[in-house]
Formats: sequence, C-alpha cells, structure tokens
Amino acid sequence: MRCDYACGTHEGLSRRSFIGGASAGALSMLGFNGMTEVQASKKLASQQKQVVVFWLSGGVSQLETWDPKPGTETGGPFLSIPTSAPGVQISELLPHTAQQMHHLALVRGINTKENDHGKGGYIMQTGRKKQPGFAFPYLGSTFSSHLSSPDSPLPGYISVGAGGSSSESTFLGPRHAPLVLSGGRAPSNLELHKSMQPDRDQMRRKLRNKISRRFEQKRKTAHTEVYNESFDQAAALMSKRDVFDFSKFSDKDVERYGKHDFGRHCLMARQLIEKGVTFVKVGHTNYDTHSENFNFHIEQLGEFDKPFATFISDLYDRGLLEHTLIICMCEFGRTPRINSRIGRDHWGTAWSVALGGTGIKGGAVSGKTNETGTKVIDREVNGGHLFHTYYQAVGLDSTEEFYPNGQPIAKADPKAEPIKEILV
Amino acid sequence: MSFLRLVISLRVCLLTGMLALTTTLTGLMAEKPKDKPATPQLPVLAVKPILDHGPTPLPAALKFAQLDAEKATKQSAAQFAVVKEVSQKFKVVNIEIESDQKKIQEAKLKITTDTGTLKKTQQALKQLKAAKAKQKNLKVKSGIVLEAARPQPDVDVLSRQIEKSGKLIKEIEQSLKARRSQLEEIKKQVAAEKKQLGLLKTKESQFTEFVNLYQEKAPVADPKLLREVASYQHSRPLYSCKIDGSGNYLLAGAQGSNFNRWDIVSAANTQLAGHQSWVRRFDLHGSSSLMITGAYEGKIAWWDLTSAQPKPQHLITAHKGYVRGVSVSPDGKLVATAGNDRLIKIWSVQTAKLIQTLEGHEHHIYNVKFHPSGRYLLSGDLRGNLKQWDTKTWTAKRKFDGSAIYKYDPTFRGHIGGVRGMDISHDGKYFAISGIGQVSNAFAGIGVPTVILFDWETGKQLAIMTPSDNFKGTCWGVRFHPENDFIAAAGGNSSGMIWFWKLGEQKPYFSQKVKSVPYDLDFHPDGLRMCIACYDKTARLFSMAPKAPFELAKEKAKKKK
Repeated sequence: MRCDYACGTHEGLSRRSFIGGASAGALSMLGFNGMTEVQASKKLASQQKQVVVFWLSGGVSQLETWDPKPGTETGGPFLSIPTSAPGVQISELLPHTAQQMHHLALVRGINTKENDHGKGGYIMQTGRKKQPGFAFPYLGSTFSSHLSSPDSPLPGYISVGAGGSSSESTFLGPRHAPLVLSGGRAPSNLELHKSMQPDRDQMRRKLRNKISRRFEQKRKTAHTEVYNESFDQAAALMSKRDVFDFSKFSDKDVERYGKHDFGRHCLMARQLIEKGVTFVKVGHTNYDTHSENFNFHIEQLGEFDKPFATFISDLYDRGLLEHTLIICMCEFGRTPRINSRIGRDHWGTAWSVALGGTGIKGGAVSGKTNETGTKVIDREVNGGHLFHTYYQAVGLDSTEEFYPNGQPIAKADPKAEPIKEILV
Repeated sequence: MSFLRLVISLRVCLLTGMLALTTTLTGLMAEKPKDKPATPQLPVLAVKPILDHGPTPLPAALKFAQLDAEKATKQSAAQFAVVKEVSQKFKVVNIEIESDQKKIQEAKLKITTDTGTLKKTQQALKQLKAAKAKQKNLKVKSGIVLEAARPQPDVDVLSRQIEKSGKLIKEIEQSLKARRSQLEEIKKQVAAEKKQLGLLKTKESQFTEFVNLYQEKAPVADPKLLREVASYQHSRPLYSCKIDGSGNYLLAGAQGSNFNRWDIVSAANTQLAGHQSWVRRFDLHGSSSLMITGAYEGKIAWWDLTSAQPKPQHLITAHKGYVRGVSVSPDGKLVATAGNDRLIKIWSVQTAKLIQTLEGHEHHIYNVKFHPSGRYLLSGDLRGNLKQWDTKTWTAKRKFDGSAIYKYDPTFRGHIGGVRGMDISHDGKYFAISGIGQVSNAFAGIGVPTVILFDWETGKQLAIMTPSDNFKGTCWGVRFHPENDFIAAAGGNSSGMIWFWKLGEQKPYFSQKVKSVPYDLDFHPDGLRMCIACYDKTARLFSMAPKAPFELAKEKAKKKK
C-alpha cells in the first residue's frame, strides 16, 4: 500500500525492490537452511508465542505520547497524566492507554540517527541500517519464520491496514511474506466459486498435483516449488476461511473499539491472534504532522487511544497477553522544536516506543531524554537493541545466525544487546 | 474471421462506451457523502454594494497620542529618578572602594615600616649576639668587663603586627573584589537605565510630534504607510494579542503558560501566571480593566489589568480540552467560551458562574464572538460551520457556510482548517472568518490563506478574499478596521504577511511582509496602530498614521546616505 507523507516521500518499496525481494525470496528456497531450524520453531510454536505490531505511520510524536515534557519550551500545549504504572506519566492524549501502562514498558532513549521515512522504517522493522546488496527480513517475516509451525495452514504474517510487500521476507521465502488485508477486508475468493462443487474441486486439485509431480520429476526448481506451494497455501487458507470472517463482531465490541477503520482493524487483529496467527501488523495513519501537529495528534490519538487500550485489556482478559508481544512503533519521532506551522518535523535522535505482553516487564521505563527532549541522556539504544529485545521477549536467542545460501547472518545486530531492564 | 474480429471489437467499443457513460452518470447522480465538505460556494458578490467610503478621519487618535506623550513624560521623570538613584548607588560604592583602597595602602605602608624595623632589629640582635660572643672570648682571655646592650624592639610583637596587617589587607582586598563586581553591575544598570531614559525621552518627543500633527488635522489610517514602531520580546512564540481599550497595554498569550502584559510606551513586561497551557484567545471587558483568558488546558481566568502583578481572580475548569474561543458581551455582563468539547458556555462575568451551555456544533469550536448589538452570538468550528445564537433564548437562529476554509485530506486522513480568525464589524453589518483554503497538503500546511466576508443581514458571502500572489499558509487572524475602512488579516507558513482588503474585494490592495509568522492581530483603539503576535517570540506594533517630522527627517537622512 502506498503511503504518502507530507514531506513528499512515500514508503520505500519501489517496484524494483519488490521484484528484487520477490526473486530473492523465491531463489532462497533451495539454498536457505536458516528457516529449517525446525526444532526451535516447533518448540516455540508449542508455546504459541505471537506478536502484534501497531505501526503509527508517518512518525508519531514522542512528546505527545510516551515522553511528555509539559511546560517546557518544546513540550507543546498538553499536560502529562499519571498512569496505572506507579511513577510513569504519559501524555494526556492517551487516557485509556494510561490505564493499561502496567502491561506496557517504555523505551525512551531511542536514537536511530535517521530522519527519512523509508530508511527509518527499515531500521525499525529490520533492526539494521540499509546495506547495499543485502536485504534483511522484516520483523513480521522473521517472527513468522521463527514462531509459526511449518505445517500451519495459516499465514504467519498478516498485515491489517498497514500495507506490506512480498519483498519483506527476503531470503526467508514467500511463505513468510505478509498477507495484506487490503482496506481491512478479508482475502477475496476464499469461498469456492458457486459453480464449483467440493468433490469436483478435489478432483481438479488431484489432477493438478499429478501433473505437477510428473513435471517436477524432471524439472524441479525453486520457482516450481514456490508455484506449487502457493496452490497449497491457497487451499489451506480456504480451509481456514473462518479466521477471516470479520462479520461477527458484537455490537458491544464495535462500540468499545470504535466505529472507524482503526477500531475495526484492532478487532480483526484480536480475532487473528485468537485464531493463532503468529504475527499481525496493524497500521494507523497518519502522523507526519509537519503542520498543525497538536490538532492532528488530538485527532489521530483520539482515534488510536481507546481501541489500542481495549485491545491490550482484551488480550489480558483472555489470557492471550501472556504469550503475545505488543510493539507500538513507527519510523521515528518528531522534533522537539515546534515550527512556525505549529508542526513538528522528523526526529530520529531522541524518541520512544512502547512494548508490552510476553517477556516484557509491565510499567518499566528504559532510557531518559533531557528536559527539552532534544537528547538522550541515559541508556541510549537503537533499532538493533530493540530487535534483540523482541527476540528475547518471545524466548528466542537473538545471538543466533541465519544461513541464507550457507552464509552466516546475525539475526540481530551483533553490536547491540537486549534492553534487559524491560525484560521479565 | 476478420469480420468476426470486427464484430467483437465493435461490441467491445460499444460496451466500453456504455460503461463509461454509466460510470459518469452514476458519479453525477450519486449523493454527496456526508463527511465530505461541500464545494466552496462562489462569492456572492453584489448582494448589496459596499461603498468605498474612503479613509475616515480619526479624531480620537489625538486623545491616545496625548495619553502616550503624557505617559512618556511621566515615565521619563520616573526613569530620571531611577537613573539618579542608581547613579547615587554607584557613587556610594565607588567611595567605599576608594576608602578600602586607602586602607590597603595604609596597611601596606605599615607593613613596610614594620618590616624595616624588624629587619633592623634582627640585624642589631645578630650583631649583638656576635659582639657578645667576641667579648666573651676577650673576657676569658683578658678579663675585660662587657658593655651593656642597647634596648631593642620586641621582634615577636613586630612579627605579629606585620602578620595582622597582612591579614587586614587580604580581608579588605576580598571585600574590594566584591565591591568592584558590585560596581560593575551597577555601572551596567546605570547604562541600561540611562538608555531607557534616552528611549523614553525620544518617545516623549516623538509622541509630542504626533500630538502636534493630529492637532493640526484629524489623521486617517493608511495601510500603505505601515511601519513597525515598537517590538516586545518574550521567551516563547506569541500566540494571541490585543491592545486594551485604554491603549495602555499590549497583551499577548504565548506558546507557554505565562501571559504577557506590556506597557505600550515603556515596554515594561509583567508576566501573568495561572494557566498551565497556551492562551490562544482572550477578551477584554469594555468598561473596566477586567480581562478573561481561555487556555488549552481547558481553564478560563479573570484578571484585573490595573493590578501591579495581576493574579487570577477566578480560575475555572470550563471545557474538556482546549478553550479556543472567549468573548465578553458588549454590556460586559456575560462571557462566552467555546472549545474542543464542542460546547459553548455562557458565564456571568460578575460571579463567574455558568449560566448556559449551548450544544449543536459537531466538531471542535474554534471561535466565538458576540454581535455588537449583544442580541446574538456567532460561533465557528473546525469544518467552517457557523452558527448564530439568540442571546435571549439561547437557541441557534441561523447557520452560515464557511466550508471554504476546511478540507478532509484523504491522502493524509486528516481534517484541516477551521475558523482560525473571526471578527464582526463595529457597526454589526459584516462579519469575517479566516483560515486556510484550497489545501493541497494538509500535513505540510500547504493551502491558500483565506478570509470569507459575510453580510450580517442576509447571511450571504460577499467575498472570498485571498492574497494576490501565490503565497501559501494559514490566515490566523482577521480584524475589521474600527471605521470599516478595510479588513486586515495576518498569517503565513514559514514566512509572515499582513494583508489589507477593501470590503467586498477579493484581492488585497496592500500586503506587507513581516519578519515572522503572525498568529494574531488587533487594532489599537486609536485606529491608527495595530499589533501582531509572532512566532519569533516578538509582539510587534505597527503604525498606519501619517508620518511625523522625525520620521520624515530620518527617511531623508537615509536617502542622502
């Protein structure tokens, strides 16, 4: 999904990178051994670790969310409020989230040194800076590969209202690319065509398999394998179509989450997690507020706050938060300086994310910025630290390596380490 | 075969054409989605012609010029006393320093004398000791009787005296250091006070020139003569401004909790503390020194402007979220406030008690203002919806469409716009709203600064007023000149502008670039001056008055250079 920003850039997925990523994914099917770390994956799958990312596209302001500085020159007009976590204050724009802070931890010392949407998004979703000639897999694909059962009929990575591209899975293969629920709708054609009877469909598939097998005996390639797998995946998806039936939310739930796209997307995410999907990315847009930062944050966070808090509360009530990692992040924060358009610009130097759920110490705060929020003065971390933390939170060893085509690639940046103070 | 292909291609063409036609018709016939703003109405010009009555003489300006001149005279005299006092202080400290220096010199002299005596004594004692030894030897050898030694000063006493003098010097030197730094401070203070005295003297003479000028002929306001005549500094960007009815103070809210009161003549600043957030709107009580402010933390406050250090007389939580509109009724009995909770609240000015809550707006209310007749109240919201309320029944009487300054940007999924500025002409015949129109990029604030002029009687739009060039930004504030000579508006994006339109005209007849983006403007009650509150932490006072001799002389000198 194309996502435009006020500054004129758009989410950095060009056609070329898409094709490159897709072919890299396909070709890696033969040479990649990393994804066959079946033992670890199976073990984790049995523990049902799941991940939900809330992606606040455009870059939400840390000063209007997790690291308020009321009364200072850079603080803006909003006050801070106490939360359910003793001693932790967040912006008054998040009153519902404040009541769930005992489930969440804050990382206030992020310095990614990146103010570009595409590059910032890449760092936050891969844990690395962009490197020429090599593409790291995105968070969703990584956890799909590690946490999903290899024979699960469900896709391991589903994106709801957050876009996504097949190139995100890179060498992990197309199986771990996102299934994008475009416009927050279920995938189309999950039902058999009216004219097709189930027994006839079964016969058709058998015939196709037979022909394919005969073809593969002589000409098996990565492409043919991917091609065949796509049929299997489609069939598996059709057999699990109830997962994507989003028509049965109760009126009460719709009321609680709000009658807007984001509320509905959160409800969809809850259902997907309940049904066992490993990784769900929910998008909320747009926070690229170069102008009217405060009015737009009232508007956007006014929409975000309640469904987000309700989602966390529901997951906790249903016992799902115990094994689900929640990450609320974006590509960067926003400048402490308020510009002449009453806006804030891009700021990767000192900003925050919120984490919660499995492996995370609720109410913990890591890192500190100075009085005006212009600089990290304690416990500076970057995307690498965050990736190690995500891995550890779901019980994975972040110091292991991938082996695409036999070459060792560290799963998380070896120069960084997990943020232990927010881990259980 | 080819025939068959032709038939197929024709069929395809036909079908495509039908499809296109159906799509077009469907598009035309489709009902407008409720959430989308209506297409801005074209200005309905000539509902009734607005005659350009030309510039109006402003005889009242003389009174304000005299007030300023008198104030400058009084302030000069007071400042002269301050300078005298500080200079006296300077003299006292200087004398103390001289006295200390003298004491040091005396102590040093005593040390020199005592040291000399000590040296001599020590030498004499040494010689005596040597002589004693020599005599002892001689006595042993020849049996000669020793001579008695002459009496010498006590060495220990001398040493103690020298030590005491040294300590005294150190002590005086230390206090001297402190006094010298005190003197430096006082010296700076004297310079600053003298400078201020100079400024006040200059102002005194300048205001006197204006008094003389206005005595000759009642002046008229001419925006083409617009020039900055004073500026007032704060530590945060300024966000709202007004000049009180007496012409004494320039008042300004800021992007911070402290509110500013500047004496217009001396620029002396008083910070009004009480709010916790930004004050975007406030209003003044016409017949008293009362001011009522509304801030983004949701509170409203009552202040007495004559107090040396005003404190909130009442501080009330009025709205949930921002207070964006404050207006005191013309009779001074009521104050209307409005905010992000989509409510208008009517309060008693005297008791600060809530009288009425008006519901009806569906979006954040950006502005509220009483009609000069006091019979009506006008309110405007984020989407440019305007409502006229009856102040007897507190019911909505009419609606006006100001949606030209609102847009839902589907790309950024944000509502942009709102009634950022609103004013009703002093005669009550017209009202105007301002904001940003024709938005092409909501999150970068790219749009056209826009003012919409309405006719009060008919409720029709008289003009949609925009800059004559390609300037982009928001028109943050709009004001009718007290005599309806023109409409002024201020705004910008990364740079600031002030525009002047004749009533009913769509393009300004004069525009002036200003040093920083102004978020608000107001006219001085003399009708000749206006103030703006700017992003660069500065409030600026401009004049549109005829130029005084000192200004003409300065211009002439500049030209010569």
